[in-house]
Amino acid sequence: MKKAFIFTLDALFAVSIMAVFFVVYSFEMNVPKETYWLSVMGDTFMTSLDKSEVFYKIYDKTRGDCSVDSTDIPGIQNSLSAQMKNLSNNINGKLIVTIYQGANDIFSLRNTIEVQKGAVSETQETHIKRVFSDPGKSCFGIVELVISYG
Amino acid sequence: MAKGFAIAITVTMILVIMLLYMQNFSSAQNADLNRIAQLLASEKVIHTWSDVNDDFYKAANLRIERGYMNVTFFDSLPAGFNLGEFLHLYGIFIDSKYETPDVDITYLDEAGKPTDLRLLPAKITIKPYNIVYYYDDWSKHELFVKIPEENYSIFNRTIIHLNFSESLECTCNDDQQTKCAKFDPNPKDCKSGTTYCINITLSISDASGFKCTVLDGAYDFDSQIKWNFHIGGEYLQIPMRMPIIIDMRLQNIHVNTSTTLILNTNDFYISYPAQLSVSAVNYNTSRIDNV
Repeated sequence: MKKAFIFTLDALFAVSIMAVFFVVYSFEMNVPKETYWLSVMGDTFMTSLDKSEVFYKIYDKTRGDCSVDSTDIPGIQNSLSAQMKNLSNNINGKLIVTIYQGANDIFSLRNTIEVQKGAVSETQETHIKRVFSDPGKSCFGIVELVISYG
Repeated sequence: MAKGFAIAITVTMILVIMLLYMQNFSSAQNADLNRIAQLLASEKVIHTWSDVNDDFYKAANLRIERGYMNVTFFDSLPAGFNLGEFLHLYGIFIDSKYETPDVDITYLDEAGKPTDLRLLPAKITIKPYNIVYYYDDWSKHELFVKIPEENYSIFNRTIIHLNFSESLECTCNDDQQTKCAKFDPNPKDCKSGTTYCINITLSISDASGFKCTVLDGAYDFDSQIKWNFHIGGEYLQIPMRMPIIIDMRLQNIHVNTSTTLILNTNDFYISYPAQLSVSAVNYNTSRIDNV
């Protein structure tokens, strides 16, 4: 009786461990799905900004060498911040715009403009990139959106 | 004792059932994970293709629409910058700053081989009839439309509209000659002996709202027609004669054009100068399409 009772306790303990493992495993398995939806949301957000030429309009403020005058940067940041507010309330994000000038197969960094909404969780962040260019001035830009659940 | 063992056996069975269930659950979740990863890769490929292609299209400033038996080219001439050099730089930029390790972006030539965008041929061909819409180079200072003589019968009609970015200060006279543009020599109507009789509508407009149709009908393209155009201090000549029905040379004049080529068949396809290939490195997902 004592032996069986101990055996039963062992088995119960094993079942409990399995149950805990099962719950944690199920939870972990949901993370990629969340990442997927995050990525879909981010792509939709970036596509809407791209199609409405939000990024291309930055080139209206660039000089001949693709640099943005420091006095124009707050205005661009305000405009991008206003767009970031369109992200869902439960999403935090960071938008990083990098502008280069290209010549002789070399790209010289001109400006990096960054805006942020909330704190981005590094463990669950998703990165989405877009490219935009101005052929007339030979300017090349990359916009990177880093988002996570808030 | 027996009761204890019964409980022990029951608990052990529950344990075995849970293990089996977890194994099932785990493989289902793994399949799900693979599907999600595949979906993510596909979405990334589609968005990347569209993103790069949008930029390419914006730079080239050329849109092509294929109808049932016609093709229309919406163009802007000249480019105003060295488009060939820009495309070359763009290719390097994509490789070095935009492309992520999980995605491969490549431009392919007509034969499907990777190409440098600087080497891109400045022409679009309507195949199998080899009707060509082409430029001298990607600076787009000179535009040609060529119909091979042997495929003349497949060609039905062309509609060309030129929209000038500045005001022409022109009037449209009753005889379809404008004050600022004259034909010299004049277009001749087709006769019984005419080999190449081209149906053409040629119209112009400008920034001030001025509109004029200068040619509309079937004209003899055996001999040359030349349209001489004065805009400000600039002089534009458009000679037309088979097999090159349009030869437009622009220097300091900017014009948006729409050129519709109507054929007698719908059995044709458009051969573009390049294709853009975007593929996910770790998945069997890619998009290869004309740019």
